[in-house]
Amino acid sequence: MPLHIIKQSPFDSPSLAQCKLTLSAGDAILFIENGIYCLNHTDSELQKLAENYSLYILSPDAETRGISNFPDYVTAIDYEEFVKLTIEFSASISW
Amino acid sequence: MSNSIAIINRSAPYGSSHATESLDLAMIAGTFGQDISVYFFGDAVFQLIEQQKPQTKGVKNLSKVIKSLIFFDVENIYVCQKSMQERSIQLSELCVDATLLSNDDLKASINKHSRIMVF
Repeated sequence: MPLHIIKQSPFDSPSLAQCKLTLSAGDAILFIENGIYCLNHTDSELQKLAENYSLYILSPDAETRGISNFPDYVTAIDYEEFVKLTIEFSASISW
Repeated sequence: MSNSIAIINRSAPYGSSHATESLDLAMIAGTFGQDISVYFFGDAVFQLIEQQKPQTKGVKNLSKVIKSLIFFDVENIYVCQKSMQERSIQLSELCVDATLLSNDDLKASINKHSRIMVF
């Protein structure tokens, strides 16, 4: 049950699309750095993803980029919670 | 064609140094009275979002830098309409009043310049 970390913008990298191909039950996805922009990409289909996987977003990176008002199915976390997540999950995969 | 410069931005604000390098060039060119236009498309439209708050020290707040371009006589700021729609960004969220251009207008406007640079 890995934690998938998306750190690239979906507009110039297939990270999220490729990550979706490897998702299995119980996984979680965390958006950091330019991965934050997945929230602005209509094809991300985050709502659908949220039905099976827990979605997180790193709030310092979002604030830096002026991205706010996240949908309720995405949980904003800070660095401390980020560390807890990496411990909670069996592995962290960076995309 | 007069000596004019088109700077095309297509990089996200904080992912790399492209954004700051491009704005530095725009300011320098403006200071030397060059005829200069700055274009934003692709992920570069994220550079224009008003509410940016960089967390780490030493990282320039790009929306503030872009707002200061006017003091360097850089007034021609254009943004790609399609890129804005793809990223569901509204004109009201931008830090400057940039001119919205369709793809064809963008091409026409860019090609009026004698020097074109992409960041």
